[in-house]
Amino acid sequence: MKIGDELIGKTFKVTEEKLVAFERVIWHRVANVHSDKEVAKKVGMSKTIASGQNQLAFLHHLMESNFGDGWVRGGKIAARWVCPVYIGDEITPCAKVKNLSELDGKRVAEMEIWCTNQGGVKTALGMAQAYIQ
Amino acid sequence: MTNEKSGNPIWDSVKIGDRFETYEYVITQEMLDEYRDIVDNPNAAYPTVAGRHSLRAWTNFYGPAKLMNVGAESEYFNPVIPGKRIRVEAQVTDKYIRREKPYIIVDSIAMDEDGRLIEKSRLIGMAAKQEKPLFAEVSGKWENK
Repeated sequence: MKIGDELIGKTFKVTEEKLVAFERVIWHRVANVHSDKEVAKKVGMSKTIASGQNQLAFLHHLMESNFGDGWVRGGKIAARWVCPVYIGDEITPCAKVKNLSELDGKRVAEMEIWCTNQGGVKTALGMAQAYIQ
Repeated sequence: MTNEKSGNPIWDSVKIGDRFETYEYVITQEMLDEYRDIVDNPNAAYPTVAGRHSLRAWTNFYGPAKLMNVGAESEYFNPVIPGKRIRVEAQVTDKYIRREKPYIIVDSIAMDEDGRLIEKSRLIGMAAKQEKPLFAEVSGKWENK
């Protein structure tokens, strides 16, 4: 791995079924902007949107696929949701290595991260860090 | 900074350092399997991504739809072991107004029943301006793209 390397994750299709399930699987939330279009309208959106955490899950897949335990034990991530993700969108998590350093005797990759939709629009932006195995 | 007023009664009253009631829950193997299926990741180590520890602590006190998640920061230490009780402690660590929008930061720490540190996570939350729907500030910008 070297500075400038780009990591392109697999593309995830966003479905209504999975949006709703995501809102219930670990924390069973009440109907909300991510799971119910009537609630979405009440809070100011025209339709339901995927949660930012859903995009975070896609970014996790990218990190776990590339760094394994180097991500699972010691990974860091910071992301902002910059554009909505709707049902039917196809989201691809990506990363670019910005720096390589050493911490506690282990190599560390510092990365710029983002997600793009099928139109190439960035929907999430941020930074991540993982140990290189 | 904290003498500012946003017009949002929750933002105006919340104090940096406010602690939320600690809560506990269990992620079963069945829940982990279902999470992995939903996110199409058979090796996902942190189903807590959907657990939203900081937002849940906030919501337990203030109720739903009071804070919009505009960003997240997390640090991971040990993966979740199914069946182990997870204990979450959370507090408000910052509040500020930026570009006339009121933000609240909630940090949380999750440990399991054996004292294993699982993760530290941060919610960057944006509150609604008074009498505006929670997503009104972003919907105009987002939905006209």
